[in-house]
Amino acid sequence: MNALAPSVALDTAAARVMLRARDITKSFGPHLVLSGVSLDVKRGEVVCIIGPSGSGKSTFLRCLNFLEVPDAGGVWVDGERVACQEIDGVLWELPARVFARQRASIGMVFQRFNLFSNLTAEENVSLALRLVKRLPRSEARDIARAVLASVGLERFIHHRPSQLSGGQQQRVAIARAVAMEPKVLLFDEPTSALDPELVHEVLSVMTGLAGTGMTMVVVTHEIGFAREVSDRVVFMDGGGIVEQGVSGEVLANPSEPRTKAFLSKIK
Amino acid sequence: MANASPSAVSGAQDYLSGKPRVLGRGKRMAVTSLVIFAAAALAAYILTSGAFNWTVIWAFFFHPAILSGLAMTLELTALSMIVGVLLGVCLAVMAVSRYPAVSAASALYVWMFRGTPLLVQLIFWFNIALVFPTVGFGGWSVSVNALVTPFMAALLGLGLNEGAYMSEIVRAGIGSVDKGQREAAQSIGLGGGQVMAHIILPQALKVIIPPTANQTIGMLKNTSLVSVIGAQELLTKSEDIYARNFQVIELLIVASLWYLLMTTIASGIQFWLERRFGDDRAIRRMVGEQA
Ligand SMILES: Nc1ncnc2c1ncn2[C@@H]1O[C@H](COP(=O)(O)OP(=O)(O)O)[C@@H](O)[C@H]1O
Ligand SMILES: [Mg+2]
Repeated sequence: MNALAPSVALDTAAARVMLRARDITKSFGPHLVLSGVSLDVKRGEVVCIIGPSGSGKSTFLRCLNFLEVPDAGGVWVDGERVACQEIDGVLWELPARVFARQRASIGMVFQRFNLFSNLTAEENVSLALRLVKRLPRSEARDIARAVLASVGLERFIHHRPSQLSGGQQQRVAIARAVAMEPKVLLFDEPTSALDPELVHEVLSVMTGLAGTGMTMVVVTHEIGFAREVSDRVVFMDGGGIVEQGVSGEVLANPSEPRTKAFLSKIK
Repeated sequence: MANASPSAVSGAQDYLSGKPRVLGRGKRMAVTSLVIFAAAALAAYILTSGAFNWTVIWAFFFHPAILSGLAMTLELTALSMIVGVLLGVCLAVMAVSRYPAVSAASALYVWMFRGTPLLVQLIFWFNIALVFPTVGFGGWSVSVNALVTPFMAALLGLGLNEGAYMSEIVRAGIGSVDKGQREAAQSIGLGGGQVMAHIILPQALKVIIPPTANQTIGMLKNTSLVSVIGAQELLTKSEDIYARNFQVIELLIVASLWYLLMTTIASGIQFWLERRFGDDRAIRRMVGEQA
């Protein structure tokens, strides 16, 4: 790990790498969940992570923005080390305020939406604009309305999460993340908690987002989305990456038996 | 078509419909009349036997001393609850701190104040001058005896004790908020204090307010304990009067009727609060929270 000081690690890919994860290792008690997972995501690239339940996909995603603190390894976003800094060969935590701001540049969309239930759709989106970006209330509101309109929810800005369908809630959650203009957007099974007829509206918002050049890492079971929208598919199993490659190729002709077995099960 | 149902076959209903008659109606009426009779007999005895002097009770009900005691009871209840709630929020936030020393301090406080009787704590604060005769720093100092009046001792005793109970209630409220809410807030860059103030505590209110109303009703009654240090609330005032006129039972009834009236009104408010809680916009209006 020390051999991979950020300067060394990033020189090779220069500005093209937006998200870099190196040797992410994580255990819960005696249970090793991630055994040294590395992943580079280029600027504007859309990467889908697929794999059986319990293979560590969520844990990996959560390690990228330090909702779980990895036991070892490192994460860089746009060349900047996440949550840590190296000073004179010693790895230190970032100060809490700096870390909090840094997190705003890594958006996250959760399986269960996690909208703030005490706030309206507009307030969900504008809250961090005011508190983190320190925008004036009116400016934050205007941005929130514009972003909500871009996900087709202009008529629902004053609704509470409890008054919205699952698909609408997830679109608000995407708007909340997008409004912060993150450098990379992480999705953890964004459609798995939705009724089947609502999956489409969320996927189409995500497709639109990919079209704007957003760098995205998407854990999903939606093979259609992976094939058509993502640039690369990563197959995880047993706490590691088993196989990865151009979406069409991996999904059509997996080379690893475990990938084959998984794909045949979910089709 | 003609065979669709039995009644359609015969053209007339061939069974009894409607609600069945209730069994045991006579027994129920017998029990009810017995209870009403017993209650009426008891009421008649209390009102007419002369065991209680109702003229005296009525005469003292609005006595200025009683009314000022009543005001003091309400004031102590309100101030102690304010101290208790603020302290409870601090202790609860401390309890979930990532610094073990801070959460341990909170746990120690709760352990001490819940583990000793409130009455003992009140007497302790009243006599605190025995431990610290003066407080101050530099050249400035003040006698603790002058500072800790019976009122101050009562407020300290009730408020600090309430803080321990409120911290458990606030903690349960914080614990009731889904942990996904905190994670989402962190993921958009909110700091720890912002997450607490804008997301966790407003959502915890739904769980915190009903038991807090309960605590307030308890506090209305607990203020009577401060009569042992002479804090001039309702019970102290009643005792003062019966020490002079020996109408002990009558004045205790005066005090009890006032306590009953206050707790009844407070229960009514609590009932209303709980009914409003389905709608969390009501809470937002109440705390003036706005994002
Ligand atoms: N907070 C946690 N504590 C203990 N075990 C956990 C925790 N989170 C995840 N795990 C375990 O880690 C493994 C991987 O989980 P997860 O990353 O959620 O998998 P996936 O998202 O691929 O289904 C599972 O065996 C799960 O039980
Ligand atoms: Mg998962």
